[in-house]
Amino acid sequence: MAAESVLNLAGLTRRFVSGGETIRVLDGLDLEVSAGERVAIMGASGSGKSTLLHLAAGMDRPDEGRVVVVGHDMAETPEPRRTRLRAAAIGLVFQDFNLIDSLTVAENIELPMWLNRRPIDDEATHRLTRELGIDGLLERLPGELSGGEQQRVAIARALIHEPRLLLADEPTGALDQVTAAGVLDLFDQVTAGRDCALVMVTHNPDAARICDRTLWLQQGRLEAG
Amino acid sequence: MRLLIQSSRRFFYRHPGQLLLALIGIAAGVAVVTGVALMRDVLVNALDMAGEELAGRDSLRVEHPSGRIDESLLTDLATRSGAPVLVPVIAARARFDDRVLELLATDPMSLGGGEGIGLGGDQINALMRTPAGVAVNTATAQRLGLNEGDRFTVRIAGAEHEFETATILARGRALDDRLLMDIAIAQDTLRRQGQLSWIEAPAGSRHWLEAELPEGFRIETAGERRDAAARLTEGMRANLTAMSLLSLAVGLFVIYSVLSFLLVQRRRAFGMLRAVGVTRGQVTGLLAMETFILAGLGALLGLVLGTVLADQLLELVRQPISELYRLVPAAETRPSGALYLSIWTLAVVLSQASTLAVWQEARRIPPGQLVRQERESRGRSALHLAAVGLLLAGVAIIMLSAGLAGALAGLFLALMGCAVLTPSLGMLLLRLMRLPLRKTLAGRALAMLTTSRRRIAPAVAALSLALALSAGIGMMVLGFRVTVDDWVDRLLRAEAYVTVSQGVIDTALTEQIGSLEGIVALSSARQHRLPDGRVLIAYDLPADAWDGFELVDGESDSAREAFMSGEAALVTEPFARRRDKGVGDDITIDTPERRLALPIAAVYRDYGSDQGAIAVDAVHYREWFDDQVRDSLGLYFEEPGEMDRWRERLQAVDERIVLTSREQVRNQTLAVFDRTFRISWALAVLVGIIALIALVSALLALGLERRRDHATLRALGMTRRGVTGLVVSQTTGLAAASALIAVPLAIAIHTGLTLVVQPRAFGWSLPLSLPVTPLVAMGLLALATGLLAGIYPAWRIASRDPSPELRSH
Repeated sequence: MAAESVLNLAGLTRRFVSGGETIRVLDGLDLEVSAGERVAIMGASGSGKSTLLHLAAGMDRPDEGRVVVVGHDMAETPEPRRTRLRAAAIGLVFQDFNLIDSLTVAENIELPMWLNRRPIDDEATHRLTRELGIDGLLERLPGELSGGEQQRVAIARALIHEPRLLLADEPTGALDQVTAAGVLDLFDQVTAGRDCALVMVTHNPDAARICDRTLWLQQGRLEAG
Repeated sequence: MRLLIQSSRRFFYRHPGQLLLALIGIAAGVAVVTGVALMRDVLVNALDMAGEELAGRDSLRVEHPSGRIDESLLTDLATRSGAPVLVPVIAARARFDDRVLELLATDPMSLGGGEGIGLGGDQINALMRTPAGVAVNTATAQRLGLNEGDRFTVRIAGAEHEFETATILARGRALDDRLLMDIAIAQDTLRRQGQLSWIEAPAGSRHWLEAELPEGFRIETAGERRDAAARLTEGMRANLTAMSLLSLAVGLFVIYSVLSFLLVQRRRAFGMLRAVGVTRGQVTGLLAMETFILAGLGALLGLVLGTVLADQLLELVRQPISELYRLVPAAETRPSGALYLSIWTLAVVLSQASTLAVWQEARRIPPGQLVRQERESRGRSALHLAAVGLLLAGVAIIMLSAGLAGALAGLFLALMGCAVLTPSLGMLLLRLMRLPLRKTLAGRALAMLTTSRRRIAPAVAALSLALALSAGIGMMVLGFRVTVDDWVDRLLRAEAYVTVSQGVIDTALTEQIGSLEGIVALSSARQHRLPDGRVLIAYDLPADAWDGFELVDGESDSAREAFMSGEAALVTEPFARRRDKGVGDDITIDTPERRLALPIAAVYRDYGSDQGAIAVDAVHYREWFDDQVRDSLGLYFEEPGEMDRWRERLQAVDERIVLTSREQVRNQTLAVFDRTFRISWALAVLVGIIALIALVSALLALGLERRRDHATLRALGMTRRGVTGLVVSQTTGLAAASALIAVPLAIAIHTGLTLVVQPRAFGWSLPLSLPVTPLVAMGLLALATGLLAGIYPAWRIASRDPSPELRSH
């Protein structure tokens, strides 16, 4: 039996106007990701990697094409439901971590549970944070942590509600080589035992080693690496 | 430095909202200070403008202690060698409906052409030829709804007179609310033939007058008249000044809030600049320059707005001033360059001082901004200690000083101390409010707020201070109103009161009324101004009426006995306090025959005049002063009857009789009270508006600063409604915390105003009551403000897709 598709991008086109000129960042892009599959997407700066992730997460709307996440066509899903779908089915990790400065580490991690109106499972939280090596930092504020520590908190936040799809936008982009390698190992570790697909946009060639597929984004389309 | 300025300029271009709020905040504070300063100036200097228009700047006034001059003196002086131009004047207070006017009668031919007030040949002719004709300026005519040739009725000294608008003067703003009349017509109309109120003489004629004037006359300079007006209105002016300075203080919180936001926004940029070699001094210099430009421009705008505001404020105080102090102030403010410069300088200097903490913070930014964020706690205990010091110093000044200035300065310091403490209290309250809401949207929203202390501290301080000020003033005014209501209730013992529309109430009329069937007793009152300005009130008091006096010092029975026997006087509480007199002290009264020394038998509560009065028995007064006139009579009925039937019966005795019921007198008194405090309400509202600007400014700053957080929350799956709820919970929570802090602060302000400021400013004591309506209204207003202040930023945040926001970061 074929694995269930958690992300299906078909004929995706996205244009931006910059300096009076229309730039076609994505141009009829197709991508299918199955449950549990890990895909690395690489490409030059400005090639549209982040745009691709934002469209996949339903945070941006394509000019053409379809985005289907766990069976829901984003174009046909009204905004509030799209947002709730993102909260329930997607985990997001950003290059700049995007932790809420005014919430503690624990509160940041609990955010998706709260947004999904799910009770907080202290045992699960403890297990995850211990796995990520941040169990001693729970009462700190993000500003008091190093870059590596912040990214671990962001990963914990992305996984705490057990999403079907994890979207990571250059998760190692702001980290040094050693810390970046550690973060990739963590991704490998924490996604391996979960039925969670991973789409990782990255510049880091090492990312390929933890992924099942590596694709290159060139001229608005994906090509196998 | 050029590049730094360039970067600063571009930054402001990108944040026009913040720039605008900073300008509005400081402009609003400066506008209130300017408005009040210009209005205060009118109450002192511009009172004399009408005199100046008649006889030139810094004119001299020849007066007699009796308040009247025989006209023969003018004829005598005018014919002597070297006589200056002398302008005879008759002045009287005239009431047109509810408005108090001043009738100024003079010889139009002696006005040197009257160009200053636009009185040309045709107008002089009209004025002199129209029977009971008066000239009014355009503004007064508009206010009273008069056209040329219109006839209207005014009441002067209890009598009604019909005047005709002979001419309307295009110029002469100094004649606002004044009726200019030919002196001969005035003497006929007012039955003051051969009498003058005073004589105006040019500024340089002092030596001549001193040599020529007979004994007993005094020459009063314009400065002395201004001083007298200043003394009379001191309490009211000091209170207004204190409130305007508090408005400025709230405005300064706005500028602090905005500048500290601008610093947070540029923290990283400053760190980078420091890394490439920009010194701490250059960073501080840049901020000082920004503050100077912002405060300077805002203050300029405030001066313009304040000049407009002054006219509105003046309109609110003109009537109370005329009712309370018998002064008819001009309706025109006189802005001066010196006043504007001093207010502008004050605003700029205070703005710089209020942002010292921001500079200090900027100096601490390390090169490269590489250190991790620290929890915001450094230096807070020192700040708290300083705040407690301010608070204690304020209380000490209030307790150790005796004057009004000490009370206001102490209150100001104590309030500033409280304002510094309020952010910490606010954070504590937000944390406490968060406890029961811990896992809810509101709880998360409050949690996010408590970690943004720097951003919201000025808003909490400004909002708490302004809410407390508004509610505290409201409590004081309402408490005072209840006290005055009780006082009037106690004072008005008679069922109805009689005055006459023309002429006077003499002994014969009094006896006629007293002999009417159904009237069991009569009281009477007669006010007499002594040459030194003290007010003597002579009372005929039947047995019941004595209870109308609420004694604050003295024993009732013995005081009554001494009062009725004419061997002692009573004095009002303001009189006793202003002149430092008490029971047993003597007061001297010069009668036409002799000098009396009467001991004070008791001090009684009175809110009728802050200058105070001496009360004596009327039987003895009539004997001492040979004055058989009564200003009003109080009627005690055997059985309360219909007022209209009594009116008919009394008018059958004398058609001039005007009957006013006890309830009507009470309502009129309370109406005067309400008019007096309209200015306080107006200033309280202005302070509230400035606080609202502070709140919106802080919330906008918070919203801008948290844009990325909100976008992240949207990215993580928070719905638009969720984000709206989050932002509105924050603004409402902030307002609720500020309102809670404002409650004890309002009670403290109310207590200070009632127990300290009122007695020192006006001489009367007030029992302390705690009306809760202003507190409830304040709470509701704060919540509504918080809600409204959150809706726009919430809508802006929620209406955008998170993607562009996340990309821009």
